[in-house]
Amino acid sequence: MLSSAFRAPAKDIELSSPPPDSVSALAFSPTADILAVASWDNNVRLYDVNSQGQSQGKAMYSHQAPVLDLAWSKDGQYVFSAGCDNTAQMYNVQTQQAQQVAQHDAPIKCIEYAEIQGSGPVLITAGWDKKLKYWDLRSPNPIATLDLSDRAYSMDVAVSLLVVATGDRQIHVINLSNPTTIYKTIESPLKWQTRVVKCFPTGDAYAIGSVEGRVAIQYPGGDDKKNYSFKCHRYDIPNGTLPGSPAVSGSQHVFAINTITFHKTQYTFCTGGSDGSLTFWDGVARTKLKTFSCKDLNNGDTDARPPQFGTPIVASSFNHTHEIIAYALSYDWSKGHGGVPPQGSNTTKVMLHPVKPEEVNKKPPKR
Amino acid sequence: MGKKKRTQAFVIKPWCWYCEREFEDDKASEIETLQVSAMPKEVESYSTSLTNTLPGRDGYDIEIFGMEGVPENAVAEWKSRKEAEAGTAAMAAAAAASRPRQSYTVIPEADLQAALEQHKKLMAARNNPAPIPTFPPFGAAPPQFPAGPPPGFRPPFPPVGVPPFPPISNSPIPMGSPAGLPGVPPTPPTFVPQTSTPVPVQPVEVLPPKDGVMWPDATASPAEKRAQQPRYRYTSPTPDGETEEGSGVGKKRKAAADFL
Repeated sequence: MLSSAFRAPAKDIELSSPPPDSVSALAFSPTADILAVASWDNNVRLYDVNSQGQSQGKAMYSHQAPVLDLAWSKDGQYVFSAGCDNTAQMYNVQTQQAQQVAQHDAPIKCIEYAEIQGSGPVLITAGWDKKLKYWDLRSPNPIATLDLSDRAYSMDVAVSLLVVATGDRQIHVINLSNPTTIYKTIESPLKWQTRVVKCFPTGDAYAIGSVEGRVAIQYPGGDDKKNYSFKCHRYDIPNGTLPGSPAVSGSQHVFAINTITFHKTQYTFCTGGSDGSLTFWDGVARTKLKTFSCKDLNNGDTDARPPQFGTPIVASSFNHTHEIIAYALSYDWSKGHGGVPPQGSNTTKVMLHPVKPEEVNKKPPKR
Repeated sequence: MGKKKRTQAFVIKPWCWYCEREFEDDKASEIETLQVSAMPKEVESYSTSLTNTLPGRDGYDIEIFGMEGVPENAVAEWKSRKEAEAGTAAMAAAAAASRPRQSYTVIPEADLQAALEQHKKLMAARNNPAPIPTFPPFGAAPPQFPAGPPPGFRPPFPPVGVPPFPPISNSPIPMGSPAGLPGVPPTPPTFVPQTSTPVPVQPVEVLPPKDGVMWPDATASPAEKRAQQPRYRYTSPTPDGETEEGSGVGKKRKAAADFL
């Protein structure tokens, strides 16, 4: 076809047979190119991804309700998942057996796997029952339980830093060397609801993403001068060019930061928003490295009049070699029931993007 | 930086009775006599008649200082004339001001239309799938960086001497055992399914965007609202004959509605 010669080549490759309903979390195995995808259709799917970006389904297991979060064990042998059925499951990738390993009184929103010095591996779960629990995977009772100020919305762990964001905009920081007490609790520096929190792989800082297109970087070690925040995933509304556009200038479409994912060796990170775009940042040098707009991702066109925002990016993950970043496009319920894609259409897609070094490499320190 | 908002109110600007010139601002009235600034030199020359004036207004019989002393009938006439001139414009401005500001939270028709078109295109593309593009082969593995913290790294916490957990956790965790994969499967912990009464299903609505922010609801996250939908709602199995624990506070009730 002649016309195809003039079309920009599609850069990102679609994962074959994605989940039929929205993706809630996805994570690459830390040891192999296996992508685990959790979905609102109650299932966790595992895909093999090869170096050409081709993928095929590998395994699947189910919860009794929507799955909300995922984590891998460090050795890549187990997948942990948690969901609205108030349980967490441990899935053995080799034997393909799943078993329940945790229980809450309400949906478990966050699950993380951590190795604590002197105590070995633990599973950490946090839920909408305002509890954070540590599990040793054999006992039906948690090793320890912490009370949170509100429902857990997001959690992440790196080295000995455990950060939990709750529905009341509090950020609970826990030192895993002393996991049974909350090291400190701060109010989020962002004025709006916290959507995601992610630790720097160095374990000395964390990033908070809010529903109001803003990211804050916090250093819990007391070095408050290093804390900062910045705006992103926003679009100016041109004044008076559209019917129904606001009378005041400076108005913006403001989208939620749904996902933040860190490059484990460069310490740079990638934000994905409800607008359907991806941006790579260097959090230390405080610079933007690369933006993939909705248009770049073939996911809407924000320059169009009226702007067409893409399907929200709800989850993202680097593979273990950092050559691929996987990101999930699906409806994030930001418009409630009315925004559900019509019956029979599936807007859920998982895309694989080949990562170029210049997109993720950190900036050299300034002299 | 936006434009400065201009006031739409109708004002009579200072003007010169002699030549009917308008002045932009009040500075003109600060000048001692308007006529002097407007008609330079001739006044000082004390000529019998002023120049540059309108016919009939060239005499000295009317003494004007600033805007003081202008004949009243002339003021009234001027005012009515100006009002008539500005009439149409002022009315339009007033109408614009009183018009309700359109809420841009409502999805405009055109937007919906565009979305539909996009969707149709997408569906068409799906029915005639294009050949699958391939990744450029991934090159050699990128140079690996030392996994440890960077030189300037400062641990966020002071060192803690106490053991992390009470001794119960000291037993090795089965999953950590190497190569013990299928070998001896750990006895799965038994969980007692918790009980709850089904809560009457109510449609859960979300707040519309406010000031451009797509999720202005501070009381619940989209996931919580979504989990309350009948489609996603989870009802845990209730063992027979068992009394309800937690007085029916189920997981879904707990999610958001309680906090609204």
